[in-house]
Amino acid sequence: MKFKYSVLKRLVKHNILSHILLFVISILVLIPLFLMVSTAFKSLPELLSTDFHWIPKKIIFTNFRDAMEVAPFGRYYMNTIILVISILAVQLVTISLASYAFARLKFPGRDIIFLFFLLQLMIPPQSIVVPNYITIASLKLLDTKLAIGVVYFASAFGTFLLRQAFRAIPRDIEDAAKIDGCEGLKTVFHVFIPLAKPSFIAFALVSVTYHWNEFFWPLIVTDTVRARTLTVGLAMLTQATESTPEWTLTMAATIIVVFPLLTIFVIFQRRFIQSFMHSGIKG
Amino acid sequence: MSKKILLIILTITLIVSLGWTEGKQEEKGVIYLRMYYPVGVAGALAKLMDSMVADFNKSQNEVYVESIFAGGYREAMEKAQTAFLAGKPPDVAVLDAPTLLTLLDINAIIPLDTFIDQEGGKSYVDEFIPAFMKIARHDGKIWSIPWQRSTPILYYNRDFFREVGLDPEKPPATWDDLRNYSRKLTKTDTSGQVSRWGVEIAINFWLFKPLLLQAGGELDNEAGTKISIDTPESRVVFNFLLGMANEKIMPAVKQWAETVNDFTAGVTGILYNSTGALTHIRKSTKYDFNTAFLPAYKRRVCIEGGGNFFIFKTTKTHEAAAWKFIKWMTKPENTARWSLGSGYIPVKKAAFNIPEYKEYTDKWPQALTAYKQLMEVDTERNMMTHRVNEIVKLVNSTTEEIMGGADLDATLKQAQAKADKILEAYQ
Repeated sequence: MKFKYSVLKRLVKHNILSHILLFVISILVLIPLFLMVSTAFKSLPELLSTDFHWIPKKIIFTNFRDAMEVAPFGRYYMNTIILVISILAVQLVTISLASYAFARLKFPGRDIIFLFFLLQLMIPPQSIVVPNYITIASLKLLDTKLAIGVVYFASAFGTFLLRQAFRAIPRDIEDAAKIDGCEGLKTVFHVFIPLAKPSFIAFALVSVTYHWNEFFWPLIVTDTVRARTLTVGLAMLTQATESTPEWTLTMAATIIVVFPLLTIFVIFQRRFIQSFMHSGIKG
Repeated sequence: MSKKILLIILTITLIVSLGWTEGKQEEKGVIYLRMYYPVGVAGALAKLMDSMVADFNKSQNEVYVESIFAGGYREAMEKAQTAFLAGKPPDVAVLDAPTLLTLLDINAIIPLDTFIDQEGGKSYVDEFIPAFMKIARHDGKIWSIPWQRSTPILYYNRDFFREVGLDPEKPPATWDDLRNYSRKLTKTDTSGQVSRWGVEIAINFWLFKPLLLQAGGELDNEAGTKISIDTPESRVVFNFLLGMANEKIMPAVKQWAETVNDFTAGVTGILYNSTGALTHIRKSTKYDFNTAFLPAYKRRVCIEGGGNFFIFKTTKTHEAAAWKFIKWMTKPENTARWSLGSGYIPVKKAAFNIPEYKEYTDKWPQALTAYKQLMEVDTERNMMTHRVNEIVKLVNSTTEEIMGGADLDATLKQAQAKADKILEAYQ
């Protein structure tokens, strides 16, 4: 028992245990990604034969060309980028103002209102598709990018996150700014926003990924290529339930769709992780 | 500071551009229709649909149809329902044929009999493969027109048949044949592991219903208000399947796409699957294979499946325009074109005489099996009930539980009770 304990101690001391654990977890995360890439470069008969290779015996590029032909991915790219940036831009304005109000201003019913605001987090978006659709239709916005984005302009999650960050900022800093003549909205821009930067970055990441990947709402509320996003294009390949999806094309298209997000994450990885640690989001 | 202003202007432009539309508006004298369609099989089908609709638009100048991709069958139905509830239904939609009862429950569609009578009534209906029209009828009316249709058939590997001494031109005709052939086709290695199965039948209500019918049972009733699953006939089916699973000549639980992959890879000798998988199998297997009718037991019977055109309640002019569009799409040459691109069965008999289609079936006679089965074998409709999504889920999960080793009697009894509860309101 004593011997075992000392081994354990040494393992912990040199971080060996955590390294082994991390290694196993990263393998688990990387295998699907690797399979996606490897499948995208395989021919269909090779993929479906019984002898399996991690690296294709014959690397082919035609899957990408064929996948691009299934849907107008170029146009979908444009739409998706415009959409996620616009949603984020509006959200940043609404959530920073709202969280300032909830964190610092005093007005009657503030906490109750905030609680109602948070309730939004518990409503699954699918359950309000019909009322949202009716609103969008009455605003004559069907089949526009705005129809996809407008329902997300206010974000309960973002407001909550930023409110916590703002509350953590010491009053002293605010007071110091006041002495220098900074008041009201100016404090938001010169004191609160700069100090809560990690939370903003964390929120931006969540928002961009969510809207990049969203499928159901854009599919329901838009009809044509002028407003549709990448995920809808991807669905043209994955919904082949009656036969069987062409995995090689599907994986090639998936790479086309996730590539920008993946690149951004790899480049800014350190930054993102720091922000998440700082803002206390887990998962 | 000017940088900041520029940024703000840019952002505002971006957001305004979100609401910008360049859409085609209804022009004077042209009726503008919106059509929802799902994609159910692999391939550049959305493209094919768009180009067929474009050809329709070019063929005349009274109606303009916008073809709108709507996901898979389920999403297409959800999109159509949502739009209908918001008062903006599509004018016409391709939807899974058994959703008819749900569409009637929300009063969203119109019967097509008046239009059909204008086209010659019975003689017009007779142009279609009769088996496909069954599911379009309800309450003495016709509610939909067949479009992308399929039927389950048997695929078998001729190379393996030759290898084990079976006649490659004689596919199993009965359940007994199926079991005997599968015994021969199964390969087990020295450690007792199966390296090749005799037959694979995926867990799916669409493959379960024909088995049940073959055993003399019935699943859904005519009105779609009841399913019978706790019956002696379903015990016959499950005992047959479990028997083969216990003998290790058929895997007990396999999912749909997995079985297709196994067949193309040579992991199984015989496969139950949709005729819609034919193009995919042809493209991805190196084996010599053929297609055949489903093996028979007490009855020689099969079912059909797939999507139909529905016309939603809009205005008289839009409804008439939608009919004009459907009539054009289901012309023999057009249904043949759709079939060549997708692998579905042409819905009109005359399509099989179109030169391009004949050329295809001469080259791939396997493609004719489905048509022959529909014409020669008794074909019943796909499972159609109210709240059909829930019933589908229930039948699938029941099948999976039983094949996974759950107690047969108890599971069937439970499933029957659940089904009765789901359909309680319609009794």
